Amino acid sequence: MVSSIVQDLRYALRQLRRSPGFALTAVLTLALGIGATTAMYRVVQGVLLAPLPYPAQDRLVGVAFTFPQEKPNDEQAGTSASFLKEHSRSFTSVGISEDGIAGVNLSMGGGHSFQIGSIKVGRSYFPTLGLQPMLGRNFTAEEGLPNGPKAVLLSYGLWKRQFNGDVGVVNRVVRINEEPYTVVGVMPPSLADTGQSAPGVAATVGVWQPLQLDAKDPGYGGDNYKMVARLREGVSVAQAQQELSSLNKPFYQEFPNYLKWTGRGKALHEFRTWPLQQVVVSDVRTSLLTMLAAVLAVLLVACLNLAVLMTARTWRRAREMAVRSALGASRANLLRLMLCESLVLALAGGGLGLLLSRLAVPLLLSTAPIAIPPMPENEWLPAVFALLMACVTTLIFGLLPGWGVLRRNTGPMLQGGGQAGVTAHQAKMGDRLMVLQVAVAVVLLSAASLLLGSFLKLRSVASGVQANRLAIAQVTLKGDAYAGTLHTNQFIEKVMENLNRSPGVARVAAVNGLPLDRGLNMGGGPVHSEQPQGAVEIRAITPGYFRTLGISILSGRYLTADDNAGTVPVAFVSETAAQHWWPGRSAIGEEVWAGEKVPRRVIGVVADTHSRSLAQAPRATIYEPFAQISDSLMKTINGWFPTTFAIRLSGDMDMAAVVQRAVSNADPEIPVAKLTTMQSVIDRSVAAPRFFSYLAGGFAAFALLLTMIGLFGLMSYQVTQRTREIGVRLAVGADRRQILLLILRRGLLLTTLGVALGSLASLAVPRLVGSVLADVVFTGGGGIERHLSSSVAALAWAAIGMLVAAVLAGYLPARRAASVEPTQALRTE
Amino acid sequence: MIELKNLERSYKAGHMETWVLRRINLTINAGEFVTVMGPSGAGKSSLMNVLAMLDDQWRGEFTFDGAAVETMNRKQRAELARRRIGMVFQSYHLLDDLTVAENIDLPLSYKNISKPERQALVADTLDRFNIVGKKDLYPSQLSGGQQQLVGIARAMIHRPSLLLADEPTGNLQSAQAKEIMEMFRQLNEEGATIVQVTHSEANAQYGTRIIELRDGWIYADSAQADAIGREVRS
Repeated sequence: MVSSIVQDLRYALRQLRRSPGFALTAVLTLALGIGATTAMYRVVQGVLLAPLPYPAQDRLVGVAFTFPQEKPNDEQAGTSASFLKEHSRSFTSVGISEDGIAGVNLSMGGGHSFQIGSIKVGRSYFPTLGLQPMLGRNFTAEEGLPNGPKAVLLSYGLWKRQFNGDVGVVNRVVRINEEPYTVVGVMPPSLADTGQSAPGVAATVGVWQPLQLDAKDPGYGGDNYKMVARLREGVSVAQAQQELSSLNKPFYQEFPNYLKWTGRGKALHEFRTWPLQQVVVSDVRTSLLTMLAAVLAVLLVACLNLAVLMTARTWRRAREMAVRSALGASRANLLRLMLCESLVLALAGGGLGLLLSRLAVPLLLSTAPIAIPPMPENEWLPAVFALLMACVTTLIFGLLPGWGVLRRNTGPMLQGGGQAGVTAHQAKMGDRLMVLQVAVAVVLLSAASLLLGSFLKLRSVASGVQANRLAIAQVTLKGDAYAGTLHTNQFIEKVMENLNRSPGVARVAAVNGLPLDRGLNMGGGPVHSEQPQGAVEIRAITPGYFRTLGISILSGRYLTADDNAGTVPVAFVSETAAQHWWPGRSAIGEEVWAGEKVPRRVIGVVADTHSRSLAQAPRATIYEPFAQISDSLMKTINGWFPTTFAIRLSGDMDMAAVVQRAVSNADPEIPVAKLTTMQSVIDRSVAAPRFFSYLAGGFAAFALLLTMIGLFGLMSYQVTQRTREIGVRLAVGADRRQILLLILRRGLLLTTLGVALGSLASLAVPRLVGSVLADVVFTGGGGIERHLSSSVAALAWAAIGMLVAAVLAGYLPARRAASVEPTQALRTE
Repeated sequence: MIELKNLERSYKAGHMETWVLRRINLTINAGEFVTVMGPSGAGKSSLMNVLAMLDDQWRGEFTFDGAAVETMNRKQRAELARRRIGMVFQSYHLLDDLTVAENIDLPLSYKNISKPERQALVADTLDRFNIVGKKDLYPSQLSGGQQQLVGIARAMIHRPSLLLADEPTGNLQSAQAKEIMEMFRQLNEEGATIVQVTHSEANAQYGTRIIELRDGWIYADSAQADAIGREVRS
């Protein structure tokens, strides 16, 4: 038995060696299909399915104060978090943290500092997760008080990198934002030190600082916090949710102000809870599952392709099987022979696929603009998955088509028969598989062209800024030193003065809240208005800001150095704000509220810019001079957002050293946190749609290539099968051009059928893509339905692509058919 | 009608050149029913391929109704064959996915003939060969004799002046073979020139002349024997 199997394996290897084209195509098809699927499986398994690295992690939940339709999250306002902490009974402990990673300037021995990520957490945050510092201790109650001792916990990564893993680091004093802090401990490596600094932007935490929820904190009323909790023994998530729901009413009775926080259909925020694992992966879940679906579609195309190739090959070997059968081979013997060949292909394709997936995962993680949480490495599971997948696909898609051969009557095959051409059964099997493959590829192609179209449309949206030769340098001005306007202004002016003196610098301005970056968003609007105040974007700027960024002033005057702390508070409003607040009349001279107790007089209206993303419509924005901002507002914006210097250059030059010198001259302890170009900022803002459109494009191109290979294989096989038929046709009068067209027409017919089937299925694509990739599909403000018209264009492109592919793939076999010598073809009798 | 002068055909395999037809000199007049006989490998099928203009790798002279075939290019030869020659095969070579009527229509589909005209010609042919009742059947639903009848009908639909039949009854029982040979005789009497290849002495008797090939040479030709006989008698 064993020797028979070995003999079969040897024969299978010899057969494959004799058909290198088939073997290579089948192995590569399998390898690429399985490689892509295993890569995605690795990510999905590592991110979506892996348990969190905390003790009894299934008892951990995220608790949110959020709209009912929101996906799992743990966002909280300070008010709601404090309320829950006081009233909920379902949890043994509750941990609160800030909702994002902020940049802070760290200096270890005085002098040079650098920027790291920091996040503030409540004292019970780590105990709730079940974590203890691996060195030192957790924050004390005293350290959490507003004026308590300044303490930090280091992340394992920072401790290793910057402190060389020194165990004596505890109680060492470091300077953060120019103030002394005592290192009280180092957190273990199991604690995830990655998070998001802005929605979708991954960042690494270097230090944790104590957080004290304080109603006086300017962010306290907004949803600027997160809450994790550990369920009490015996309490399920559903029971906890029941209790939380019962707290909605008392909360609104105590804090009726939140009744203004309404969303779609006047919906109010509610207390919600989800398992923490779901919350952690919530942002990437849809994206990952979509990518997995796309990859599975590619795998399906690959499998169909394999089926087409294997069908062709098996039928070509029908005579060999008949001879074996006539010589006494049972069906089981023949099946084993075919299994051996499938097994060799599966092992080669699966192994190569596994290798490819190992290379693809780091590439995927590094290029994906979505913030994928860190994932544990598991080696054997993907390996089992890949090989299982290879065996199953080869078995189903490779072997089943060949089953027909085994069931066929072998007699006529041995006699040579009097038939010419492909039998109806043979033709139908290959044809159906081909049509199906084309249809799936068309769906992928139309999805890809839809995403690509959406991305191109997004790229064509004007940012409102002239990005050419505009350098961007950001600094973080936190801590007591920059808690006031005077010192902040002095620093900004000094840096600008230094930069202005540098050769190649045409203009410099500063802003807190660069377009397409983060900035302050709070209640504001016209003073004399009956409308309730809505959320507005508030930006602090220096004179020359609009000119430096290339933002047009539509009416009014420029900001000057004379608009200072001692003069009337002034403001600029964006075009959207002016049209919304004072429709049909001039905004100049009107007064606005902009986050402070005194109103500001509008002295100019400027063109819109996109404050957060190109996909969102420009928001109402109020610009006010740095010099006129109150100390409290300055402290808030400095505490939350970096200050940006925009530098208009007169030529292409490297600004790194110049900027570093200008900033160091103004304050040696302030590092340049980021130095980039405005174009990079714009590019980063479209990174997610670009990634998804390119990814879908890549998948579609792969599917197209596979389809071409499949068509080529099928056509070649059919030409071989039809050699005698072609000979007969030539003998009864067909010329070679007619034979060429006959074969090409068949390929085109199959492709057209597949395109028609795929087009029908593709009608669902815009809605599907819109629902699962809402965050990355740009619709231009009209909803995904608007894409129904563009999907027709997408389909047309897909159909054209497919038909061209069909002609290309069918041409060589057709030419071979046209060059068949009838004397040779008919001699086979 | 056909005149071959010093016609030769060989195949090259490596350095070896194998001759399949040697210095063939042959004249076939219109209305003749010629039978080509000889053992396997004698060159019978090669001669048929040359006559059918399916093969163009020969040397020598080939005149068809006064036209020098050796001066024609591939396309002209194919065109001449399409108009003037019909072929019947031992294995019938019907296309399995086409019905009887569609198989018969096949040669017309490669000519510039309108659909109604084609339909009329197919109907006439079905009637002439007495297979109207089978027109919608597929080849696999017919007996061997019926399939060969369809093969002959297909070869005759465009009324060729030369009908070439390569072992037309090779796969048939004797009763069916007789039926087919009667059909050939009838077609010959109606004016078609027929060249058949056969191993069967009985089938050869239906013809008017027998040519025997051996190792690529014409070993015997009953027409020349008759001529010699006449000369001797005279």
